[in-house]
Amino acid sequence: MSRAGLRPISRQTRAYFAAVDRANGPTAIFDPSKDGGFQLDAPPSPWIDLGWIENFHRTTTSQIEGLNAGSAGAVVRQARHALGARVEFEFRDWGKLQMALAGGAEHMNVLASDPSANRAGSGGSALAAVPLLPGSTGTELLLGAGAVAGFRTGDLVACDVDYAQQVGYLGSGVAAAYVKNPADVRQDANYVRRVTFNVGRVAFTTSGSLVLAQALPGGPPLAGASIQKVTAFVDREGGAFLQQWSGLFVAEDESGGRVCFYYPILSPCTVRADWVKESLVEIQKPIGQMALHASFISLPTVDGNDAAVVLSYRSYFPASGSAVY
Amino acid sequence: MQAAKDSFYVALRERLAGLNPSRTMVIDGVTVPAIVVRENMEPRFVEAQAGAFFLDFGEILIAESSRPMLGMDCHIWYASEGSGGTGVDRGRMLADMDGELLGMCDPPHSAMFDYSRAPIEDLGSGIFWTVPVMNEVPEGSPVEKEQWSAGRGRVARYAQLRIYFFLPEVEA
Repeated sequence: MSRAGLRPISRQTRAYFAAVDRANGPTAIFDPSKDGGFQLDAPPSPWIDLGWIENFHRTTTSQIEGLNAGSAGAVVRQARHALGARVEFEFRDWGKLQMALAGGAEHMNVLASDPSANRAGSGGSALAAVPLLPGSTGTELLLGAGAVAGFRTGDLVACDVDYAQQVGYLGSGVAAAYVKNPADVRQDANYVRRVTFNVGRVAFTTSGSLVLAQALPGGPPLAGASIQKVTAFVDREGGAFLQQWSGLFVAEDESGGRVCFYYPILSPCTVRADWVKESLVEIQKPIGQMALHASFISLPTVDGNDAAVVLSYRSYFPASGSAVY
Repeated sequence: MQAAKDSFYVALRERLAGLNPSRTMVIDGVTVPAIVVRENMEPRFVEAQAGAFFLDFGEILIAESSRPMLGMDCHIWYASEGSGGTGVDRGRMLADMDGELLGMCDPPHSAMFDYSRAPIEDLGSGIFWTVPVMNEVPEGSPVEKEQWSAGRGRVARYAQLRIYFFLPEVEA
């Protein structure tokens, strides 16, 4: 029996995220009995591949302390308290989800606006939305022959329902913002599309539809959804909303077993007084790559197998043919 | 040791066959993917050919001694003379081979098998390697530069990487 496979070798970590249902908790459970050996380029649904990350650090703040008693003052019991765990890393890929996770608050889609519209840091008043026809899917948006002429291959589009003056979480499939008072968002019918994660790039157009290069992260459009062109993404220092996502991190198994880290609920968290938002990773002076720093605190969930309150799971899939210990 | 060499070569050969099925060469009348380990070839076939990848294994070092992990240098030679007689596309064809080499080397790891046994035995660990450093053919290289450059009608590349692997051991 070889012992060489007992030493996991890895040089990089891959990050996957999945939306958390803010009312009912995590919807994406990484089940090591089902999902362990997945191809890193093809994660199991509903995990979304956010690429290789760097400087991945997991830390725990949980404490296990002794309870002393008796004349000798010896430890007679132990107790775990202050359960806490954090994750920090750098995204090297920039995208809608990466920015939202690194920023932590509402992440804005900058909707295309009329040149004469007002100016705003997250984009001025938007051009009118184009309603979708029934039958649209997560990868094909049906518009009809006339409306499709307003879009071209390569366009970014946001797809979601109109804001209907409701209070609560907004965004199809993924909670993207929380509105306490419709007046806060100026009763803007486009507000849901300003924050939605249902954003895609047009791979090509047909006579009556837009075919997207990637599936909408929030799933197929809801009835009554419309689309608008997106020109950029904006995150802000500030905002009242906190993102919540499930996180899965996989150390690429180059030799030995695979190690996976699953966090049912991650929420943004910065613990240092001078948290660096992004940095320039030097390639060769003066050329550098922009890295997005991300930091999260893990929120507790209950493991259904034994009712334990847990923050994260570490799974190890031994290499084939390796010793067990 | 030989298992690591064989596993690396087989991994690259299989990947090349997938990346570019048309990149083949004929050895002793047999068409094979155009990647060979020269120490495995009959001496009459070792002369470098344009359009094929030639692997040479070099120095071996102990990368970690607590449980023997070895690092083994690998040199990969390839060249292009272009097509159609004029050779004006030799740079483009070399760039294609550059891309194929990078594709073959990604992901930079593979399982390690003992190909000397029948059936082939999974050794329970893997081999992994560095990203290839792609240079021009250096002076004093194991292959005469003239053989590769062949005047100005041939452009050549000399890539280097290091393969790491654990020595298979039996403890139970």
